[in-house]
Amino acid sequence: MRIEIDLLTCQDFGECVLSAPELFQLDETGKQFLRRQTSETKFEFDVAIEYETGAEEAAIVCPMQALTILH
Amino acid sequence: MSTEFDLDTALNVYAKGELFNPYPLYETLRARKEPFWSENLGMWLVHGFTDVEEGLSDPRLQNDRILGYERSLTPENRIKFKALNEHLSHWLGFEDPPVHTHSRGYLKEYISGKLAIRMKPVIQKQIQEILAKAGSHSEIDLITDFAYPLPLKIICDLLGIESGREEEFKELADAIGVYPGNVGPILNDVAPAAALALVKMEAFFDEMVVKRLADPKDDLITRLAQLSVEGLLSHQEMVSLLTFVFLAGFGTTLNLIANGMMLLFTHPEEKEKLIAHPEMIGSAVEEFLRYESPIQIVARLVREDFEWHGKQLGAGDYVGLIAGAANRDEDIFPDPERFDIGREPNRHIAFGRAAHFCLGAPLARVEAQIAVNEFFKKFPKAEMVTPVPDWLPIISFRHLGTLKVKLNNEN
Repeated sequence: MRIEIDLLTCQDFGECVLSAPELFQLDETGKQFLRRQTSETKFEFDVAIEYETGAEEAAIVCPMQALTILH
Repeated sequence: MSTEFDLDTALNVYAKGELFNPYPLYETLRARKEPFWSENLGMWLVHGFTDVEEGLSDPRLQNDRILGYERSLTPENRIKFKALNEHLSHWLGFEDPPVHTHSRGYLKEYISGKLAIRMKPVIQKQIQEILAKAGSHSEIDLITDFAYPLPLKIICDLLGIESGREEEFKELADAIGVYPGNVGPILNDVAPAAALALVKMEAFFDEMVVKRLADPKDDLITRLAQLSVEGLLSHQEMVSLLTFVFLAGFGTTLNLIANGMMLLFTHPEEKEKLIAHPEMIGSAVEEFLRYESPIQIVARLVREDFEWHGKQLGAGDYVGLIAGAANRDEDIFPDPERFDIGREPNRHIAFGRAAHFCLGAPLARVEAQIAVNEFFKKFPKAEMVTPVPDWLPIISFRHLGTLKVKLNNEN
C-alpha cells in the first residue's frame, strides 16, 4: 500500500497519530513530522503490510481528509 | 430593487422558515464581509469561510446556550421544565471545555475510526438488504426506502437499541429534539411534549441499562452504563449523551446520503463519471458535504462583550455560523457553484472545526461512500422522477422531502 499526505490540506490535528502511531507523529512544535521530509506540498510513502489497517483508519479519521490511499 | 430591499425580504422569508433556496441570500450576506445582525432572527449571522472557521474555534463564542432557552421560557415554565434544560445541558452540542472534553472523551473511546472500519461489513450487509428490497419495485422514494433505513439501523446498532425497537426510540428522540430545534417564545409551546418524551426516554434507557449491565454487549449503552456504575457519569448525563448521539448522527447522515444522490441525479455528467470511476467516491462525498451541507447553520452564544470584525458583540447574543454559506465562499473554493466530484483541495467546513469537530464524521463518510457506490452498482440506469429537488425550508438543515427515482432495473 502507498499513501499520500497533502501537507497543504493537513492542519496538524494529529488524529492520524492515534490511528497509526507507527506512520505518523507530531514533532515538538505540534506539526506533522512528515513536513520535514519534503518541501513539496505532497508527500508519498509505502506502508508496510502490518500497518495497512492503521493507515486505512488514519485516512478515514483525518478531519481534513488530507490522506489518500494510492494502493 | 436595491440589494438592501432584497436582503430584508429574503431574511424575512428565511426567518419564517419559508426560504427554499438560501444560496442567493448567503451570497448577498457574504458580499458584506462582516457579521450581520438580523433583527428577524435575533442573531448575528456569520457567513464568510474564514470568519466561520474562526468563530468555531473562538472560546468567546460558547456552545452553552441554555441561558437562551431559559430566557425564552416564562418564569413558571422555567421551573416546570428544569429537567428538560438540564438534559440539554449535557449534550456535547451544548457543552464547552473542560466539561465537554470529558464527555467527548467518553464517547470518543467508542465512536472512533476503529468503529468506522469495523462497521464497514455491517454497512455492506445492510445496504445489500435495502437494495434487494428496493429492487422489487420499479420506482422508489430514495428518502424513505434508501437514505432513511441505513443510518437508522447503523446508529441503533452502535447505541445498542434492540432490534425492532428502533422506531419507538427514534420517535422519543425526535420528540425531545423539537425543543432544542426551536428558539424564542415558541419554546413554551413545544416544551410539554418534549418533557413528556424525556420521561419516557429515561424509562426506555432504565430498562436497557439493567439488561446490559447483567449481560454486557459491545455497544455504547453498555459502555456508558459501566461508566455510570463507576461513578464517572450520572444517570442523567448518560441518557443525555445517548439521545444526543442519535439526534446528531441519524438525520445528518440521512441528509448526506439523500443530498448526494440528488446532486448526482441533477448533474448527470458527474454521475456517469462516478459510475465509470467508483474510486472517486471519497472526493465525491466531500463534495456532497460542501455543496449541500446537511447542517447549514451552527449556533453559539456570546460569552462576554467583545469586538469582532468591526462589530460589537454583546454577552448573551446569539451567533449563527453559516457553514452552508462558508462552503460556497469564492475566496476559498474556485467556481464554488460548480458541483465537481473530483474537487481538490476541498477544505469544506460541513463537519465543523476544532473541539466540536463531528465525532461521527468517519462513520458518516464510510456510510455515504458505501451506500452511494452500491446503489449505482446495482441500478446504474436509475433516473430521478421528482422534477425539481423537494427541499424543505428548514433553516438549520438541508433536507429533502421526497426523492422519487425510477430504478430501470434490467435484472
